[in-house]
Amino acid sequence: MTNEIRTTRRLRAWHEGRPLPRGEKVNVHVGDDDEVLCLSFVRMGGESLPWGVAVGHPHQEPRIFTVPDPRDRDMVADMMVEVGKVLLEHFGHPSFASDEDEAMTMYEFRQIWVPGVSHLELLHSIAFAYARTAWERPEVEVLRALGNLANCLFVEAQRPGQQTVVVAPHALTTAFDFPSSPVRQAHLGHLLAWMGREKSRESRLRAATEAENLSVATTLDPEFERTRLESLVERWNAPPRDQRTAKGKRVARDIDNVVAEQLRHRHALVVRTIDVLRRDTRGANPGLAELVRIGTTKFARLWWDQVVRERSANPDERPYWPGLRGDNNARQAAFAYQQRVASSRQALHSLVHGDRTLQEEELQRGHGVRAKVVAVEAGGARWTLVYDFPSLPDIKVGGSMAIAGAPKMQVRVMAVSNSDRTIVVAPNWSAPKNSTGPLAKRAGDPTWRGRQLILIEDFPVHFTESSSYRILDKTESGFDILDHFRHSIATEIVEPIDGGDE
Amino acid sequence: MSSVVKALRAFVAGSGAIAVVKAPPGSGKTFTLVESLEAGMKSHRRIVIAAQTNNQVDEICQRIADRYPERSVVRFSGSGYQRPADIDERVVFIDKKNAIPDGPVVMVATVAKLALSKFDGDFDILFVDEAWQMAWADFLPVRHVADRYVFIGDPGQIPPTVAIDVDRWESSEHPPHQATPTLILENPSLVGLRTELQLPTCRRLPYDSVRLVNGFYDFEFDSDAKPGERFVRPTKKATAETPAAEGVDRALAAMWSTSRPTTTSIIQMPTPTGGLPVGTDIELARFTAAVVARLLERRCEVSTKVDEKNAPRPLRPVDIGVVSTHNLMNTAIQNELRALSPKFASIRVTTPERWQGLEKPVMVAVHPLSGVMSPSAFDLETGRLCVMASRHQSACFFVTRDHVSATLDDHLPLADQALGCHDAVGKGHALHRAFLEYHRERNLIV
Amino acid sequence: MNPVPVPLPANRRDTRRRFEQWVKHPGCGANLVSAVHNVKMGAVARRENPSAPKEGQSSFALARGRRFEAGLVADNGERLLRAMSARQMFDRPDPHFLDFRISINGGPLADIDDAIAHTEKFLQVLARDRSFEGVVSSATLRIPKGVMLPEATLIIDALAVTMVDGRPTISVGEIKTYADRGGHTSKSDLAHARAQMGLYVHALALVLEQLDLADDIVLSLQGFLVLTHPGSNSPAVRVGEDLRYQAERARKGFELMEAAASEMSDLVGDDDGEGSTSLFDMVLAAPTSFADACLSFCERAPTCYAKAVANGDGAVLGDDVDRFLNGLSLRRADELLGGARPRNDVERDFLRRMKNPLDGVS
Repeated sequence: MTNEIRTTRRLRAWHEGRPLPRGEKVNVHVGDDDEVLCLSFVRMGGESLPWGVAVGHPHQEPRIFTVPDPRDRDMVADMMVEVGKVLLEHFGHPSFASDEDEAMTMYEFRQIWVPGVSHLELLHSIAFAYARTAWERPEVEVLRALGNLANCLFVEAQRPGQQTVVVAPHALTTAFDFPSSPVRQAHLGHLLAWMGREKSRESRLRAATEAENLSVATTLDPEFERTRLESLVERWNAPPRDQRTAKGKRVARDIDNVVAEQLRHRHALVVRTIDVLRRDTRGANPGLAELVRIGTTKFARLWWDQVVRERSANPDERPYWPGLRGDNNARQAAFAYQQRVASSRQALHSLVHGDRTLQEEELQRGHGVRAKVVAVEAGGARWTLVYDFPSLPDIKVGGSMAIAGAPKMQVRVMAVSNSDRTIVVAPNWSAPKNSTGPLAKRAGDPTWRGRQLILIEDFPVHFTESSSYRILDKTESGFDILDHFRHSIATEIVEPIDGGDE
Repeated sequence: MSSVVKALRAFVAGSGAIAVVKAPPGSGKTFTLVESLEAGMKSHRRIVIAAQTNNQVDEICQRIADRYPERSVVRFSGSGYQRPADIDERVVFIDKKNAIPDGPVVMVATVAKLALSKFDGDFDILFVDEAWQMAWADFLPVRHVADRYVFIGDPGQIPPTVAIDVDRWESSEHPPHQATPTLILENPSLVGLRTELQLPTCRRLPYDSVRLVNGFYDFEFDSDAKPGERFVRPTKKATAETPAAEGVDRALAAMWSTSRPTTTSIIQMPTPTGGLPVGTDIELARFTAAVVARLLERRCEVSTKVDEKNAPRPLRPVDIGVVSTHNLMNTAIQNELRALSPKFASIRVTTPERWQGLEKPVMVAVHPLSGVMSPSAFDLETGRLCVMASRHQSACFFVTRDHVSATLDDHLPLADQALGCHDAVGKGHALHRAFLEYHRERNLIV
Repeated sequence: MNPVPVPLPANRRDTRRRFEQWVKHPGCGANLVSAVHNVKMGAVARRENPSAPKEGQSSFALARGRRFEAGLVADNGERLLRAMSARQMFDRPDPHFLDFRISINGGPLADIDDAIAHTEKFLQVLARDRSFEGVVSSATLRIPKGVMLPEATLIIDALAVTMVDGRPTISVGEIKTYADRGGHTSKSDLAHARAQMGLYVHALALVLEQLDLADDIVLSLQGFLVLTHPGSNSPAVRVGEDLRYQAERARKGFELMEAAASEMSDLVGDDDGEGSTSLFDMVLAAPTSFADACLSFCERAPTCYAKAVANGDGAVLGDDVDRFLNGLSLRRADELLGGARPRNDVERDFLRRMKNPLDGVS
């Protein structure tokens, strides 16, 4: 049903000939320029590490890093050391901060924006390459720190409601419904072209289709790669393969020019996305502030705390770095899973009350009702409501719901009858709740009767949070089934990183 | 007393760490659980039983109260939970951990309630009912409630609900979203610690339906019913004036075309040449309601057990259940039923998820692939089909658009599961085809 | 850098490529003609529109794939055997290795026919002697039946042979440069690799049957993948890949493809690289049907998309919109949303479904 909403909205956008705002608010947090780092990659076809990287704050010239041939693992590592320093400094890694002592005291919210999912996946590959590397080379500790940060960013990006890693096309499709197929909406250039200044649908469509011809993924268009780079790379690999020679310098510069142009294009698209969202007159969902606050704590726990532990001289304070392929440890996997479930509930809880469109989507999913209060009894301890939407809500007796727009005004579901469409609930407040505007009435107030409300399912997040910590509890009574779920050593073997194709 | 109850009682009285009881549909799961408590009571154990929903918990409390009239049973519930009006007075409701009695006790609670309190071996044994619906990550917060466990449930039913992206754990050795008993049975380190039992007999379903439903399981089970013992039989002739009525008549004729009646059939309605209706298939909802009406119009009689074989009883609206996978479809069917007769308001119409654990003499099921032209992984998951095909005591009528067989024949499923995982989509596709083939071979598709 | 192996012969992978091409959009007539008669869609696209982008993957990616495979089987498969042995795939510490690659690919055999003969001979000896335990690189099969013209030839990246209860057991393997990122490994890449392995299993079953060896050699329904560790060329071997239903998919797929192809009469011949005129014309004349899937594999997708936009085909907004429109054109939907009066039930139903059921909530 919710898919059908997206379908109808897409058709309406087509009819209007332009993207239509989705929701009453923008549900993506856009940090300040100094909080945001835009990160774009280009990689060679078939390779999993970068050929080049663009990194920089919005509205500043990005720093561009490239290598002549990304199959040369030493060159790539040299480049990634420099990229790593920029990223680590941005996220406040104490070793790269201007004031190391101050950086050790707290983690502050930081964001990265990437032009698409493939760029996020490349962070995962960087993590594999460097987080556990035993390579003996200069500044290998920078590579390891970069690998761990990349892995933590990749893991955090999967947490529902997080605002630390933003995939630009996702941000745009969260904020707008576009008149093109979902497959095409992965392309940031395509989306931004739809938002351009052209007057008609046809001209916007033409612009969007043309924009697709320029790849914004980490890989280049194969034809572009063949015609613009293949011969240069061949020349680079012809002896003498040395950046210090005149030929080496010239070819390396030519390759850099081509790759850098591609990187700048990706970077510019990300910055345009940020500008579009900042200019949006709808304003940000007020619930985003809570998600940013929670996200800062979560990412600090995931990454920054481990950095601090790593630097500690205390042997008991060993860092816990998340696994690269997942959590093989049964306890950790279950804990991380429950934490993510809690985050999913938190994200909904934080945003749904600030945006009617999200409320509608919840109703369409059956996770709430539009209902009229028909009886206020027992001094407000019991309300009876008759709902008219959806036809068969998927709400559970014993569960909690909140009045849309007033998250603190919750009710417990006592009974549901689908045959006569009634629900009986017990409000959790008696005195009026402050700061709920016209809803600030005691539960027993007779004027509730006859009032139409939207009630949204609201699973208490702290229940899931606290039960997730039960997973980590150790027993004092002896038997713990988890002692029999040790993960096999084989899957944890870290293969030596060969790099390149040798 | 069944051998499984004996074995489970021995386990409860003994010192084994983990028992896993596989229970096919209608095999007496709750009965086995309740019976095995006797050993715990005799050996003065502290026992806690966890179920997934408040309704399930209340039902277990009532069953224990009925079976052990001399005992009380503790119901550990949320603070605002209202005591059901009809529950036995010997069920003692408490909402605080410190109110749990000392000494031997039988306590029942939802998994969620247990997970909110800190326990450390407070009980001797934890029973988990409907254990295949419990994700491993949901079990771990309650594992310290006791240090011995009994998991009992139906492995063929709908897997635990997963509402988040789980790529990170798909290839893990212990995926936290997987059903708890599955992980326990697949863990070689637990071989010496676990006792595996299996309820051998399905008591609910008719003989031939057991053969059909057994296809969804990786172990064999028997039928308590004998061939031909349970059935639906029309007693009145009436001219069929609608396609649905014709369909029911032909289905009944097909089911009675052999010496022993069969108890499942598939009634098809044509797929419009111009394509299927978009959204809820109102015509199919109308058709489904008309199937229900026709069964009553033909004054069918039902045999749900051996005693009724020679004295079948009349089919009433309340004896019929209707199931479809989509809430909007269920609403539409409900509306159509009400439009046909106010008496039909007593007919339960809901999703397979909500039919789990329930039964009716006759079920009318909307085939989950009806109207689905490009089946997704969700569509091909067979837990829902298995639940739909295993709620009836006498007969089950599937209704569907007639494209399903061709759709499945033309569908080439992708195996895009994570590394090292089973091809659940391919298996679902194969089981769906086998389900149709079973009916085709027996001329039960009309 | 090591020299990159030279490109493979034109028909090296065509059977499986053509089969998978067809599976991606069986509803498109042009796709069917192209797959059955091996007329490359890229060439058709350029004939249709000379400025159409050229087909193909990154040449760097292709070279890396070839280099990765070549590195695995070099030195009597030393690297591959080591990686597979680390996964406990063999009982013996020194598994055997046979190389059935053809000379153009750096192998010892003369040509495809030679490779097929060697593979068949190997299977016959294996059934009799039961002494081989190890890996065969590039076992080559000719599918005894099929619609692929003029023939269906499959080269299996790697076969693992083990003895299970005294009987030789073969499992098929696929070598890919895909990065093994655990649960994050690309699902579409994995589906693609498994579909290929399913085809191998199906083809092997047919060949064993034809050679009357089906009772002597067990064909495992579990395959293995040789992927790469991300950021490196180290092989990452994954065993126990479930192929039970993919083999059946291949069997059924060939059947369906054959049935669809048989509906086209008098269509014979083969493409010899750039294709003969009649075959191009045939593909160009065949009906097309634009769908989301086209974007992922077909070089004619931009042209078909433009046509679909011009025709008001709902698929340009996604397959879901196409279904939602229920036969209405986008143009008509536009008119209806602009206030035109509905002319029939379909149009009235469309407007009803477009209405937000929650409009008017206070």
